[in-house]
Amino acid sequence: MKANCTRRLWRLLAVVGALGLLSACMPVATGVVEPLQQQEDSTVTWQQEYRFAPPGGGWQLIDLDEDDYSIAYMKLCQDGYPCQSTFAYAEEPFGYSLDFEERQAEFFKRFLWAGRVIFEPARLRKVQLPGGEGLEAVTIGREPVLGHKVRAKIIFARRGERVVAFYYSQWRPEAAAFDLTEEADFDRFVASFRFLQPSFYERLAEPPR
Amino acid sequence: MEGHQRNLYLYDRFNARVAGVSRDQVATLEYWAEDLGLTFPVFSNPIGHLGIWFGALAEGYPMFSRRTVVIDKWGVIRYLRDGSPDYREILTLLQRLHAEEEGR
Amino acid sequence: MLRKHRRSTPAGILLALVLLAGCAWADRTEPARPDMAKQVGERAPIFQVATSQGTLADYDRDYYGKHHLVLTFVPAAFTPV
Repeated sequence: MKANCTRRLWRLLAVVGALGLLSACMPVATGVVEPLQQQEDSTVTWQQEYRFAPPGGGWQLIDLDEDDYSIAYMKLCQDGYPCQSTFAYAEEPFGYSLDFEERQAEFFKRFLWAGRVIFEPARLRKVQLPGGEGLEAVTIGREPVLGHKVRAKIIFARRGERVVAFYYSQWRPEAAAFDLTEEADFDRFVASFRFLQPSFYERLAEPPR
Repeated sequence: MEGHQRNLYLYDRFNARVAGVSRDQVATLEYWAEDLGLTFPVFSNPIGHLGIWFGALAEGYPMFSRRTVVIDKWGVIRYLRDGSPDYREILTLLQRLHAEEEGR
Repeated sequence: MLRKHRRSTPAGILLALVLLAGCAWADRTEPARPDMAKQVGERAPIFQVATSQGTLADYDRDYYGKHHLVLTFVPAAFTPV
């Protein structure tokens, strides 16, 4: 009985403490520049690093980590898991080579690794992006034990000398068909994407301040 | 480790080298480095004294904790940080160390 | 007073040298304890360890006076970092 009462008191204290912390942080939080800023021309900017047109049609922004220079959107469909799509801009895509073709091979060794996906060799195609030439890799991966499949379209691009990437993945049960119309949202996102300033790595090439 | 591999060409520009350290046996580390495609070494330190010296071995815990150390070329410890490597912080420091080196 | 101070200087230098040598020696031989963890600004200890590349890494031979060294400690192989 006494222990129960003590526990309740602790919980109350924790709630009051949390509220206190929140209210204390409020003025600070409003003073901080929001990482995602809406612009007048319906594009958004992310941490003043880049600008893009956010997708409509049920795409949800995920993983807003302010230390992360990447951004991702997700969409769930009615059928539940595995019926899910994600697209993202990644500042540090898997792998490490500066060459696109080598990078894509390294990339697919790591991509969705925890999902136990085995990818078919990707179909590669050179593409023209606003910032120069890129490499598009399209493939399908399968998780044979659970009967899931995933369609992946990855576009490798350059920011300075580094390789960055735009990811798109769509999960479906093995028996279901992929929804290819959805990929248009991803393509629009890629086409709208512009860097606003030299990257950390480009600035690193300058003498230290 | 993959992040270090990605930055190797930059470390090279700043006259820096990189290594991982764990308490695994050499054989295990060979498999791991091959799987990741690492071209830099991972140090095998089963006894764990490097972890003790650099504050990466907590008492009563068998494995190293994640921690990054930077030693300048004159043998002085310039950086100690817990957690996964903060690559941008490390690169910024190496850039400064390289400038110091050029100035000497 | 001044003369006396002057005369003690060579002995002071000798003492300092002996102390320094002692410290350097202690660095090599003292068994490691948790409270021995080095801090920023201190000199790194001398070490030699086997590597994943089938080589022996020798701090003094491979890095000292040559390269800055980044060391990342990880719990175990096949853990993400």
